[in-house]
Amino acid sequence: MTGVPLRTAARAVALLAAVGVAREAYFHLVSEPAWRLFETREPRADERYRAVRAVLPASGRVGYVSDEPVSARPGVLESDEWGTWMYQSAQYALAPIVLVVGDARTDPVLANVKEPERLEAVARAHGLRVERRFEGGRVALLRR
Amino acid sequence: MSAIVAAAAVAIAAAAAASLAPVRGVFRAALALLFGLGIWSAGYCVALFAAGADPRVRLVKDALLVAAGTGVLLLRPARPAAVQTHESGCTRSTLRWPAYALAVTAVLATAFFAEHTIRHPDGGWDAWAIWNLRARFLARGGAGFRAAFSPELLFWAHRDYPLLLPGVVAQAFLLFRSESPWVPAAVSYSFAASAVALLGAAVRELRGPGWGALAALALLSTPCFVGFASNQQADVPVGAFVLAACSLIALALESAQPRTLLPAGFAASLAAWTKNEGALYLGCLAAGLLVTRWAPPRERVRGLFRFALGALPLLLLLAWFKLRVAHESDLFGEPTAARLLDPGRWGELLAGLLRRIVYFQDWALWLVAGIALFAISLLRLPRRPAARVVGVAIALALAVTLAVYVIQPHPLLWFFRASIDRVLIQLWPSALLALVLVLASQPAGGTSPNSGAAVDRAGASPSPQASANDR
Repeated sequence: MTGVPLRTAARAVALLAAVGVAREAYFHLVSEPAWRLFETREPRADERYRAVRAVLPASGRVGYVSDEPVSARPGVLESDEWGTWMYQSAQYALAPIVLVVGDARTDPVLANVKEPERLEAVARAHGLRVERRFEGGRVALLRR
Repeated sequence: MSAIVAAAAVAIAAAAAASLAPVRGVFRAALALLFGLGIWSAGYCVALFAAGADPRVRLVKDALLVAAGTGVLLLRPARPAAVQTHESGCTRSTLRWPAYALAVTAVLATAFFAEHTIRHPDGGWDAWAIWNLRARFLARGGAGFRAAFSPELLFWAHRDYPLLLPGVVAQAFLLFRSESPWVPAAVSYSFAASAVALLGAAVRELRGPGWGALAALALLSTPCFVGFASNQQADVPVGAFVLAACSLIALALESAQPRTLLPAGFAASLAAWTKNEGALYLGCLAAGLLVTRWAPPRERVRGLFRFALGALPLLLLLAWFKLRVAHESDLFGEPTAARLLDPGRWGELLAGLLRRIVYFQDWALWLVAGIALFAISLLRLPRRPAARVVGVAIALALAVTLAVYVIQPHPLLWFFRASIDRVLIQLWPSALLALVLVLASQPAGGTSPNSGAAVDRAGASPSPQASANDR
């Protein structure tokens, strides 16, 4: 025997391909229904930060504070990924500004909170005041 | 103007680089697209760090690429003879339905890709947190582009990752003066389509047209392939470059054209300039070329030299980048010997691996089928040098990857679950190539450098009566 016959291989690939394509079709058409595509699409990070981006400097360092902990060291994960996700999506939307986690000495400082009612407490904890709110108080500029 | 020059730079650099490989048709077109994007991006990074972010720098860079590519095309000594195709001997006996099935699957895959892109326009987590983030830094940063590598960015941004993919996307952002999510999506689609076309064309060249369509169909219908492509991450591009390297190695070994190892090394170096794992794969392919007995030792060393020569330019760029710009990695930032020798971590990893293999969620059925076919065929089929080189490289890469899982500082199972599918999809196209090279016998009429005396002198086969092409 020097090789597997093409027809034998073709039957196996046909079976696997049918299963594979069916799996994809299930995922795209049933699990995440295509006909509800525009209702269920994720809001882009850019939308949340568009307004604040317009008033931030074009580049440079900006301090970042939040009511959710951010996993900032390799190997040390916080209990959930909310804080890390919020920081990363803000960084993605606001590049080339560098958001510096926990630094409250820059002017201004960006606050990015999960719960808007915690915004004032977050600002006070860093000796800052809320200067301007965006997105219903989820995003804000803080100053001394 | 700049868009026209950029398009010419990609096209001519692509044609020049692909002309070093003795291939034609779809094989050459797919290879040219990969090489063209890679050279365009590497040239951008060299120009950016050497001369800054001024648009005139990019224009001069593209003009130089056009000139250099034209020079290579005009001055090359002779067009390498394309390897003899097997089409004439096989067409009549070849199944036609796999080609039709491939066409239908390609249409469906494109629809799935578009649907996923509309639903997740910024791609998967790693796409926006690493790759497109870096592209935005480069495109928006102007003279301050080095902020992309600020040590104050959290480690999640992986500023140590190489720049091939962000380099392509950032230049496209600048050319189109738009950061539409369809720009990185189109780049991602190009890499995925190139991978499928390349696999089909390479297998067609090496084993005949029926096998080519089957191999392409196998890759395209692997459930998570389209998902990873539409996630806009670097794993499919790395996989495409590694596949290009493996295909050219197989061609070099089976077609009496060892000079093809030069573009193979270049393709592997493009993988290294795409993602850190690419450097590992390059090293494993070099090791595979050296330790597998596909020729006498002196020829293997010569082959390795050609491979390394092809990889050298981009390896120099990578070394400079790692030494001067991005030398910190979250995976190797702390002492690790204790972790490597911890049997508990190895046990945890192997349990996770076994669960991954049998757990039919994304594409384990394909993986199980591949492993089963490999196990069944390994003892019953003749040993074929090209398949062995690629297979040894993949096995070595997986072994080192497992060691990295044990060494790295993150919680082991969390890190494993977050990354193993991406590691597998990087190697999957090349694994499919190796599998077909093992399973399918070479069609009659193919030329082989491994015929007869060369392989016997190397002691590569204990069964000299076997067909020379099937060693």
